[in-house]
Amino acid sequence: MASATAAAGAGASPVRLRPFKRVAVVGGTHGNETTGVYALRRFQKHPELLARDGIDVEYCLANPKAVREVRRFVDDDLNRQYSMARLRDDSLESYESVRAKLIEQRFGPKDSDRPHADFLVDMHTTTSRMGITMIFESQGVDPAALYVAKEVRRMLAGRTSAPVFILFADLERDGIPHTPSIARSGVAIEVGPVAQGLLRSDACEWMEQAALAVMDAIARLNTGEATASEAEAVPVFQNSRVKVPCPAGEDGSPLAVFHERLQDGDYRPLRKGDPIFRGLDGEVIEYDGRLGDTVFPVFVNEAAYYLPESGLGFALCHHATLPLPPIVTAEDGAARLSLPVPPADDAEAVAAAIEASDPWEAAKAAAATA
Amino acid sequence: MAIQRVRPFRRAAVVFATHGNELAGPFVAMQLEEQDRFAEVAPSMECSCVEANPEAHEQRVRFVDVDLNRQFSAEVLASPASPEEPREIALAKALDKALGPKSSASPAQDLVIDLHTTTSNMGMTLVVQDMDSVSIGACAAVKEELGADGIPTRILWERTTREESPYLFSLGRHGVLVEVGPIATGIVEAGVVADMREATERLLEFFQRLNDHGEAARAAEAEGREAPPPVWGGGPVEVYEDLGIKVAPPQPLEDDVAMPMFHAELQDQDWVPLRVGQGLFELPCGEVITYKGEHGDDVVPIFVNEAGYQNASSGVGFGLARKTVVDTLPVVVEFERS
Repeated sequence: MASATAAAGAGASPVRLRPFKRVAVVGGTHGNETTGVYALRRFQKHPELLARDGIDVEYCLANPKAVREVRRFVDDDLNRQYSMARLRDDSLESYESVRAKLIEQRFGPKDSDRPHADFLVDMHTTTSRMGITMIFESQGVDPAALYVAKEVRRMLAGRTSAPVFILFADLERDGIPHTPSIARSGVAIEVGPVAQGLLRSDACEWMEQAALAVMDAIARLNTGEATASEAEAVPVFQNSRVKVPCPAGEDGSPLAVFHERLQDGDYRPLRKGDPIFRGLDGEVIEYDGRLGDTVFPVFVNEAAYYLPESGLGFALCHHATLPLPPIVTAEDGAARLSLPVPPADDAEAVAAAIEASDPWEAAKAAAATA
Repeated sequence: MAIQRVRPFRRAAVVFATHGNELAGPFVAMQLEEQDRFAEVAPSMECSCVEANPEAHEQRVRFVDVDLNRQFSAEVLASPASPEEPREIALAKALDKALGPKSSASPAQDLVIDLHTTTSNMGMTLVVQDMDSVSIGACAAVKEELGADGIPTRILWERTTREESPYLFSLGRHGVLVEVGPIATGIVEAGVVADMREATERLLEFFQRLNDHGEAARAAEAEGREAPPPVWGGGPVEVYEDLGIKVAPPQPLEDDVAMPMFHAELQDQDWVPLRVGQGLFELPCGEVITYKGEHGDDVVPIFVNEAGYQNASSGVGFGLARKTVVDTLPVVVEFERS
């Protein structure tokens, strides 16, 4: 999806942020998302890949024990430990709650305006067909993260066999439980579909392409020129965090499968009455319209979301167009900014555009001719 | 003409969660039970569903200590029990008592169907072992039926005796392993579940037909009529013989990453003959390991990028198979004469 330029009300006057001089690159937050571990080790062995003028890159293997055991986590999902409440709770004893505190000490503190890391990139994979999804979560719109995400999409267009999506969530910052929230700003790169515990060369390529593009984008943010970026209106999917759990037994065993029409249907319109699951008997369970008549599903058939610890079910999104002002970086700039979140776009209009052109087909075709 | 005469199939076990993170098997077993399918497809058989590795299933891991589906050779089953023995070995011995014993020609289960999934692009694969006309004939017949139903199917033949076989499906008098892929671990998927269920029902139906034919033949004999032709008339069956060779990149690979990077030219190319020069693995330093032709030009890769194949217990690397033809005898069920 191409970004519209300079839409009305995009806020043409630049915002000022402090430069992003220290970047944390994290892999293995989930121990069975092997692509992220592989990418991390590759970047560490070949530092020239992520090196950019004026930027210090630090690397972190977040969950070494889970990585060794090729499991998502040992005791608790590490990517649910970074809320302020959990970070400041000294009574927590699980392996991951201890790891989270160590990582926050290294790259945070989360509640400081001068954390050690200016920007944090957390590398993940999913069994869902989410292509290259740039995830950012902030209280209001974080223009730095939005800039990085939209730049990755722009830079990779036509150069990668997976489509790039932006997945945004507007969340109260203290409550965000995910790794990027401990730095001033950050994104997660979520690549899929790929099974856990193995390496697919295409998924590894997507991860690497996205990480390199993130570094290019951060470097551009740091040039400090007012014309570093023009005002833009950036189309994104906004994660409502409303989840639709798959029917399951008391022991967590699935009692239904994702309906074949929803399977692999991330980012495709889901309308009230559309099938979402098939029960044991083959009976169809429909989307009940809980977030609106037309929504966009993500994390469809993600293995982790069969587990209560990670949050059950697939998630529903609206579509939104976020105004991105030009960004100037200077030492007297803000640590981070929180720009207003506009109302959701008309879902049916967006749905029609998506149905007219399959982003996966477009990406494959463009990559094939590149 | 030689005929394989077998006793009726009275008891069949559908086994699932042999690997605890392969969730399609448990789902299909639940469906078969809840919808009372056994009474429908195999009315003269006593069918049960058996959860092989409950602890691994609960933890959603392939295994807890060692790969359960490598612990069923006669040698391992006969090893002395000890408190330090890996959980899956103790479990294998218990399963042998419950479904076998393997050492008996009349084990508790006449038929064992073991349900598995793989992350490899292998489609529907029916795995059989030994020179067993019964299971090979069953798979040949079911392969035809599934093919006609739009589920292309291959038969993978393990050249191992029942006694030597390390696989759970060797516990019964006859056995088949149903392997469906590609699917990630830890999820169920509509197509995989439907195909796995279809294959399981067709297999049970085949054995029911063997029983039915045995009844019909006995009745015909009593009435002095000619028996109807056997359900499986024997003959050559096209299979892929598992060569028992694992192809892996040089170890160790990379800190923290036990799985090799399968080359893009090999990824998803299960069953497609290897070509000299084809990329197999990419090493972290960028070096590409290619196929040199050392196994011939008629070998196919199997279990390409199977997530479970990254430890010594399960075996590391992808497998090799070669298309061949196995000769089978006609199979007839014979009831004891009264």
